[in-house]
Amino acid sequence: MEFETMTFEKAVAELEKVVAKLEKGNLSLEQSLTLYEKGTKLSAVCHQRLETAKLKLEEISSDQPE
Amino acid sequence: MPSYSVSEVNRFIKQIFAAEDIFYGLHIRGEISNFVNHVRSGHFYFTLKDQTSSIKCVMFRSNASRLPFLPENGMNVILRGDVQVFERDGVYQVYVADIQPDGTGALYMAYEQLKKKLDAEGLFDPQRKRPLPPYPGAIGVITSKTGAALQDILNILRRRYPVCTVKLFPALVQGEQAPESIIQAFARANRTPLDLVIVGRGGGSLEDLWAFNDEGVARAIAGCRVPVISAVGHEVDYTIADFAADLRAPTPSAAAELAVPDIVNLRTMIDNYAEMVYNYTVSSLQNGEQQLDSLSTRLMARAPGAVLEHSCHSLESLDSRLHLSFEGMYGRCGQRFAAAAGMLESLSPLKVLTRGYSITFDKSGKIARSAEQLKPGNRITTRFHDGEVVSVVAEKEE
Repeated sequence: MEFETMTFEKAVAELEKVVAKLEKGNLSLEQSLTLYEKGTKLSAVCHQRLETAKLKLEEISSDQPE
Repeated sequence: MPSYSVSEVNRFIKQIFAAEDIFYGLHIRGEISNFVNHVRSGHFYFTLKDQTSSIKCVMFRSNASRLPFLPENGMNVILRGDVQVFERDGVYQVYVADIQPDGTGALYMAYEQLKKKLDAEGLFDPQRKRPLPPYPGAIGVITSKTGAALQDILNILRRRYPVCTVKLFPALVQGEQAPESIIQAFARANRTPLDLVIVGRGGGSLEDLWAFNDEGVARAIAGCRVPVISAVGHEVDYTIADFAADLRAPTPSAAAELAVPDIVNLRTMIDNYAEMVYNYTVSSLQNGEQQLDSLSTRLMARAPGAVLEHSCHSLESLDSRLHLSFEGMYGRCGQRFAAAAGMLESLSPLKVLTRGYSITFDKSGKIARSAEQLKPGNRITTRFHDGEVVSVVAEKEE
């Protein structure tokens, strides 16, 4: 599933989209249920990313191949 | 009588000047005028003057190129140089080694000049400032690999927003090579996928921070592909880099805080989103239910039995409406009749009789309007409102 590889900021952006779509309304029942499922998964992904996050540090020096 | 050539005279005078120690390493105070920056040669030519006097000056490229600022007419300066003779023209002039602005420092002068120039170019235009991304995934940091600034930035990011990746572009942030090193780091940053760049160093003296007042550095900041936060640790003074950056932070720690949201707020925010998703879905389900209810009500209303029932209802209702309208009409006629009758009655002479008047008729049935019409012995009929009496005239008075 795409959720597993999603970065935090991507997941938040997706979650915001889901909320915005639901907020706008005009959805079929089917659509809103699909969005609900997606939103629930995304918020879980976000939380999980926050729990397990460890700041990554990469050094990009001039002597490294670019 | 011996005669000398012009060259000989000039050479002789030149030798006199050259032999005098006092003409070397002189400090001369005055105002610059007639300044010419000879672009091709890179030499400066000008006149230094005070209220009553002036002296020609030349500053050759080797010295001129080391000046951090550009001399201007009207600038009060203190020159250091040697006064010597220019043999070809037979003039003495100052061969300038260095110029210091009188009153302010040379660095400050350079700073003001560069700021003015870049500002005029629109490099600091507020409209150029880009908003920071709300959730940066990759943050570029351009600073010294060993400086405290990097550790400050990493500490804040670790605490507030550990989901991001920091890409460090090591650069010298002090000394003569610092500007070029920072510019190179920006070039590498522009080739790396990033959401944001923090460039800076910890505090220091004005000279320590000088790389951040470099024109090339300012242009690299303004030309960066992604938004740049400047973080030159010097709370009070603004560097040129600060003006060129999209956002200025007073310290590297502050830059890190400005760069990212706080994880605590993030958790709340995500919970809020999850709740919104839930609420919207529930309300959309409820909407669905309501729609279903209303549809089934409408459907039931159109079932064959219901239609028939409905027809009966409407027939009945038509019936009663007919009845009602008829009654109404009838009632209205009655009212009109009563009104007309009332009117008629009020006009009737008979009405007068009820107030105590009566009408007298003679024997032939004519109304007796005058006593003259009647004689004693005549039969008369008197009409009251409720009947008539017949009587005989007993006597007549005139």
